[in-house]
Amino acid sequence: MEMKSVFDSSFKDVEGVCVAISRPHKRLSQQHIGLLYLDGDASVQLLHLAWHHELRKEPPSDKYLWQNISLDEDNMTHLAVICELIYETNKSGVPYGLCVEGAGFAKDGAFLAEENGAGLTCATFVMQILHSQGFMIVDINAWKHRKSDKVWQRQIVQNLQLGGASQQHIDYQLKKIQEGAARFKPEEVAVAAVMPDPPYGAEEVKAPAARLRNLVIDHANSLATRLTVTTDIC
Amino acid sequence: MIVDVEIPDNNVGMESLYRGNAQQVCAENIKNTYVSSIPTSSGIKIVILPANRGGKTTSLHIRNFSHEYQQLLDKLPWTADFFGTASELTNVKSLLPYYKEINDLIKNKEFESCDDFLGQVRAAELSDVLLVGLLRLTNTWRSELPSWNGLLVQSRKEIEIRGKDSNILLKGLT
Repeated sequence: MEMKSVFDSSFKDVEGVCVAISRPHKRLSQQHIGLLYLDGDASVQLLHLAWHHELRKEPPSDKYLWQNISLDEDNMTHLAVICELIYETNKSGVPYGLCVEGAGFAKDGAFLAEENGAGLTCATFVMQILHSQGFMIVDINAWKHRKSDKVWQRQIVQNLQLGGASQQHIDYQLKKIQEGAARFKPEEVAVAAVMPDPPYGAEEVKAPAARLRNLVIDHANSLATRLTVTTDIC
Repeated sequence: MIVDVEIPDNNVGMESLYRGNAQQVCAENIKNTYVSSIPTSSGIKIVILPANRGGKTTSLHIRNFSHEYQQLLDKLPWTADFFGTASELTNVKSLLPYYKEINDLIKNKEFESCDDFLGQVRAAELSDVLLVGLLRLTNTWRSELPSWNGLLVQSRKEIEIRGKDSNILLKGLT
């Protein structure tokens, strides 16, 4: 899978809508994902769910790798308008939650939660935006809970607690972990969005997602090296 | 700018001129932006709708006059601009205001108004983005919108006329 980066491309060349993925902290084994698109002023923006009730639209940083979503030009323009709508419609934020069931977007871009406590991760945020418009990239039924998901999910709950999320929100997440909520990793959603014939199940994206994860790590290392070299020169 | 032409029943010659799909007529230096009914000597009622593009060469979309259409324009004034510019709405900046208007209808559960709007849409007058966008934007409430399926059929046909693959463009909607 070919991904673009600041080393071989420029955000100025972004057309349509792209998935963008990064490793925000070099030492943490965690990727982050968002959508890159051109806004009404033709400026490149990254729309992403940064954290609990932190929906952000901002110019992307060099940390991101990106690639066009597998869509035609007309649908991509439509999707870019939807990104703007979702940002404008949800300025009070979107809750962070571990289970994709019962959480998503209406066609009007408003976040919908069937139960109190439902929310999205950065990856399911991207996934549900696409699904809300009929662009099904992930076969949710072909996605099972993995043992390793639980470790990550418990870390997230701890962070939500530290960040002051309500006890009701925490309890809902714990209940979903207990029930075996599946995790959709950023690299898995990213490859599902750019591969040519979605929707995909977990097994189908396993190998390309692992390759993408390595690319993201390499990119983070390259950036760190460049930063070190630049600092040394200065 | 949109010119609506009401054809009297006894005016067979004029009716044949305006029958069928919307036709476009070029007009230059149309500077006034207003909504008005103009009675003509032949008894034809012309409704001129705003274009906000004074001083430029402008396309005139001519439709057969109907009370439903006039009622829609009265109820949702923004649709006048929409129908006048729908073929040119191709980027985020130009599309966003109309997406918001449609969203507001859906958010406020004004399904009847939304359906009246969809019922007046002519796929041939839509930009390529709107051919897919209107359907996707309203897809969730298609069961509440009797005109939705008609627009899907129209849009599918129009996409094919424009030489594109409707199965790809409308994927996930059928």
